[in-house]
Amino acid sequence: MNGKRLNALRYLSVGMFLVVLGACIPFVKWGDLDPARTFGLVAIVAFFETWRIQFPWGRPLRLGMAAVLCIIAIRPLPEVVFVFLLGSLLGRAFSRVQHSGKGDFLHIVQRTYIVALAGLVYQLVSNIGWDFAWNAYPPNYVLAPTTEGIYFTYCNPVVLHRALVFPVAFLTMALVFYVGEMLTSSLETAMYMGGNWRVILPQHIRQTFPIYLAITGAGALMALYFPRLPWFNFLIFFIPLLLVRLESNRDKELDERYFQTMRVIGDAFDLSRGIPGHSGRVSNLAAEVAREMGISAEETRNIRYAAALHDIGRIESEGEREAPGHAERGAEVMEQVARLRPIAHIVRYSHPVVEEEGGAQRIPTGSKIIGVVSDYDLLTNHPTRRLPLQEALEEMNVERGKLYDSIVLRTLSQVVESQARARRRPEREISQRARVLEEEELKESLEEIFREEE
Amino acid sequence: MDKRVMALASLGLAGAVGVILFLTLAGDQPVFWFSVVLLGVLVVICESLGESMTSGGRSTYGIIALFAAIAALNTPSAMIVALFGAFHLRLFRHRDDPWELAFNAALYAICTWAAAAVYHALGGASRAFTLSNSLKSLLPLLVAAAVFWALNTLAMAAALRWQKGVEPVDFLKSDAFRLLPNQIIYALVGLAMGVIYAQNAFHEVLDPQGNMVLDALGNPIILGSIAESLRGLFAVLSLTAVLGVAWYFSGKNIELLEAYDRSIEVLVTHLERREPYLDGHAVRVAGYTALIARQMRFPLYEVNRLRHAALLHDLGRPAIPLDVLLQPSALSEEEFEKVKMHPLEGGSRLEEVEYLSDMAEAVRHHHEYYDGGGYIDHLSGDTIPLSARIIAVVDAYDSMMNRRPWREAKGPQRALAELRENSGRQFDPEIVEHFIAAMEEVGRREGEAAIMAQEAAAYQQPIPELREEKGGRRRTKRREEMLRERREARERLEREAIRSLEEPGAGDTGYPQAENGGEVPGGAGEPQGDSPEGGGEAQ
Repeated sequence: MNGKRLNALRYLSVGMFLVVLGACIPFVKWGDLDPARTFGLVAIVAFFETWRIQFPWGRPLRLGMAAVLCIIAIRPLPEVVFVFLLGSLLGRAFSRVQHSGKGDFLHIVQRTYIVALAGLVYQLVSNIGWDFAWNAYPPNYVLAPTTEGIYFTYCNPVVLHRALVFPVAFLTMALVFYVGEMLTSSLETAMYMGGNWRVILPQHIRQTFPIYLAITGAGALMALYFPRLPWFNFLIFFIPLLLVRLESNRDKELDERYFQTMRVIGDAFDLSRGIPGHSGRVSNLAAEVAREMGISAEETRNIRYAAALHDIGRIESEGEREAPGHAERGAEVMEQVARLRPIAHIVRYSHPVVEEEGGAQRIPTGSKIIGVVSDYDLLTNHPTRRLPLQEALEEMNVERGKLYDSIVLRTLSQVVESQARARRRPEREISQRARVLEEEELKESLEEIFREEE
Repeated sequence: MDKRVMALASLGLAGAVGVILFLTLAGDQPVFWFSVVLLGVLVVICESLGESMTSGGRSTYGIIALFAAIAALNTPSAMIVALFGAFHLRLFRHRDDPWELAFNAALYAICTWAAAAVYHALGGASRAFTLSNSLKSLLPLLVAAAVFWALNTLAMAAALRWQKGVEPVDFLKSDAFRLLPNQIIYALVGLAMGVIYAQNAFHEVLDPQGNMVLDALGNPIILGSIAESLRGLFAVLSLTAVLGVAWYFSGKNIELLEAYDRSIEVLVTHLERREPYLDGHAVRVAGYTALIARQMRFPLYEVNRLRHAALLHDLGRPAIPLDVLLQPSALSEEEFEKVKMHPLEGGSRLEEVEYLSDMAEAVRHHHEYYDGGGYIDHLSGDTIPLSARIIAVVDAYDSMMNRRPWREAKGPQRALAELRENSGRQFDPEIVEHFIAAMEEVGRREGEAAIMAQEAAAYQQPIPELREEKGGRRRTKRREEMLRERREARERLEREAIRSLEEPGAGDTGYPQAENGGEVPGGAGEPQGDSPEGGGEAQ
C-alpha cells in the first residue's frame, strides 16, 4: 500500500469518526447521567486501558476491552461511545507509551467504530424477537414486589431478559467486537509490515483467543455485578485479569529467554569452528527470509530456533573432524527434549544436498531456508574469505535449483538488497549524529576522570 | 479384598447417604433441582480434568464444584450434586463395575455432607450472599475443606490399601499431604463460584431472609427459576473463563521452564563431547552450585539463575584449541594465554542473554583466586563476585573428582580436603565451609534417598489390579509376592544405608567426613581447576 492511499484512508477514518461522534451527541440523555457512576466508568476504562498485553507481533491488547464490553451491556449506546473515548484517551495519557502516538490514536478511532457496531448488535439482539418468544409483557404483569416482599417472577420480563437474553446478547456482542478487533488488527499489520491479511488473520486469532476469552468473562461478570455493587467494587474482577496478564506476559518473556540462551549455546559451537556469530546471523536472516516468504509466525519461530542450533552436530572431537551427517546428529541430540522436536526436524534436513529425483517433497521449507542462508553467511562473513554480498549471491546462483532452492535464493537476494538499501540511506545521518554524541560523551567522561584524579 | 467387601462398603455408605437425605428432606429442606442438574454437570466436567498421582489415585478439580454447591445450595442439594461425581467414571473412564461406582458416589456424598455440616455449624452463609457474609464464610470454608480432605483421604487410603496394596503411610507421604493446599485453594475458588452462582441465580426468587420461595417440585414459578439458574450458570462460566485462561498460561509456563532446563542440560552436555573427559561436568557443577546457594539461603529465583549460569560456565571453552586442551604436558606461555581467554568468551556470550546478563561476571571471573593469583582480571577477596567464587569452588571440586589428561581422579575425601587446604588462597573460605556442610547433609540424606528412589521405581511397575481379575486367586498371590519383594528391598536398602553411615568413606555413598582431612598428600598445595594451568605456573 502506497503512502497516498494510506493517508487518504487515515483522513477518511478520522472524518467518519467525527461523524459518528456528532451523531451520538443528540442521543445522550444528559439529564439521566449519574455523575458519580459515569465518572466511575470512565475511571475504570482508563485504569484498565493502561494495562497491556504485548504479543510478539501485531498490536498490543489492552485490558480496557473488558470494561468496554461491560459498559456496552449496561449503558445506552451514545453514552458508551463517550465513556469509551474519554476513558481510553485518559488511559493512554497515563500509560507508558512505547510507540508513536499516531498509531495509538488511529487505534482509538478504529475501536470507536467497533464499539458502536458491537453496541448496535447488543441492542438488536436484546430487543428484537425476544418479547414474542417469551411473551414478556402479559396483561397482568406486575413489576413491583408483592405484599409478602417477594419478587414475583413468573413471566417477569426483567428476570427473563437478564437471565436468558443477557447471556446471548452479551456473547454475540463480544463476538462482533472480537471479529472487528481481529480484522482491523490484521489489516493494520498487513499494511505496515507487508503481507496478506488473510494469512495474518488466523494467526492473530490463534494468538489472542485465550486472552480474549478471559477478557470476555471478566466483562460479563462486571456487567452482572454493576447494578449491585458500588462502582469501585467491581475492580475485584480485575484481579483475575491481572493474573492472566502476568502469566501471558511471562510466557513471552520465557520464550525470549529460551531463544536467547539457545542462540548463545549455538554460538559456542561456532566458536570451536572459528566462526563465532555465524548461527546468530543465520538465525536473524533466516527469520527475515521466512517472513518475506509468508511463512506463518509459529513456523518462523521454529526456523529461528533451528537456525540458531543448526550446527550443533558439527562438533570436532579427538580423532574425528567434521564427520558427515552432522545435521542428523544434531537433530538426534535435540530430540531428547520434547519441546525441541519440531525444531530438530528442521535441523535434520538443513544441510543442503543435491536433491534426488522425487526426494524434494520431504525436505521442510525451513531446512531449505537455513541451508541457503547458512552457506550465504559462510561466503560473506567467514573470517578468512569474505565475498561482497552481490558476488556471493551470484556464486550461489550457479547452484540454483540444484543445491539451493530457487525460491529461497530469490527471496534471500530480495531481503539482502532491501537491507542494503535501508542501510545506505540513513547511514550518513546516523553516523554524523553518532559522531557528535560520541564526542560529547568522551568529553564528559574525560572531565569525570580529571575530577576524580583531583 | 474381594468383591464382597467392596459391595458391603458400598452398601453401607449408600445406606448412610439415603438416611441423611431422607432426614434432611423430611426436615423441610427443598431440593433445587435445576441448579442441582447444572452444578452436577459442572462436577462431571471438573472430575474429568485432573491427573493421576504416584500412588495410583487421581486428584481432580471436583471439589471446586462441590464447594460451589455447598455454598450456593443447601445440604441435600449439594449431596445430590456429589452423587453426580460418580458419573464421570462411567462417562470418561469406562469403569463398569457398579460397586465401584456406588462406592465412589456414596463416598463423595458423605464427604460433602460432613463438609456442609461443618460449614453451616461454623456459621458459613449460603444462598443469600452479601459482601460481608461471604467474607465471614471464609474461615468456615477452610475448616470444611480440611474436613472434606481428611475424610476423603481416609477412604482413599483404605481403598488403595485393599485394591492396589499401597501402604496408607506411603499414600499419605507421597500424595495426600501434597494435596491439602491444592484442595484448600480449590475450595476457595468453589466458594467464589458458589457466591457468584447464588447471587445471580436466586436474586429474585428469595425472600429477604434468603429462603427460597419455591418448594421442591410443586413449583408454580418454575420457569423463572430455570431462567435464573441459567443466568447463574453464565456467571459461573464467566469466572471459569477468566481463571481457566490464567491456569492455562501458568501450565504452559511451567512446561516452558522445564523444557528450558532440559534443553540447556542436553545441549551443554553435547558441547562437552569435544573433550570426552568432561562428560557431564557442567550438569554436576550446576547441581553443586544449587546446593551451596540453597545452603547460603539464596532466594529461589536466584538459586535457579545461579544454576543456569553454572550450567553455562564453560561456554567459552570451545575457544581453546583442541590440541592445547588434550596436551598432557605443561603449557607454554602462549598456550596458556589461549586458555585464559575462555572465561572472557563465555562471559561475553552470557551478557547477550537478558535473563543472565548480570551473571556474566560469574562466568568471567570463575578462574580468579581469592588471593588475587587467578585470571583474567586478577581480582582478589570480596571484589570477586560472590557467584564467581561459588562456581570456582564447585568447578575445582568436580574436576578433581574426575580424571583429566594431565592427572588422575581423586576421591571425594581428598578433593574436599584439598578445597580446605586451598581455602583462603584459591577459594573463599566461607564458601568452602558452606560447601562441606552441604555435602555432609547430602551424605546423611543419601541413604534415605536411595530407599525412596527404589520405592518410587517399584511403584512404577504395574501391580495387578482387582478389577482385571478373572481367576482371582492366582493374581492375588502375585500381588502378595510383589509386596513381599518390595518390603525386602526396603529392608535391604535400610541395612546398607546404616552400614555406609557407620563406616565413613567405605560406602558408595562415600561423602567424606571432616576429620578425614589429615591424610592428604603433599601435592595438596597445588591450585586446582579445570585447565592444566597448574603446570604452566610451575615453569
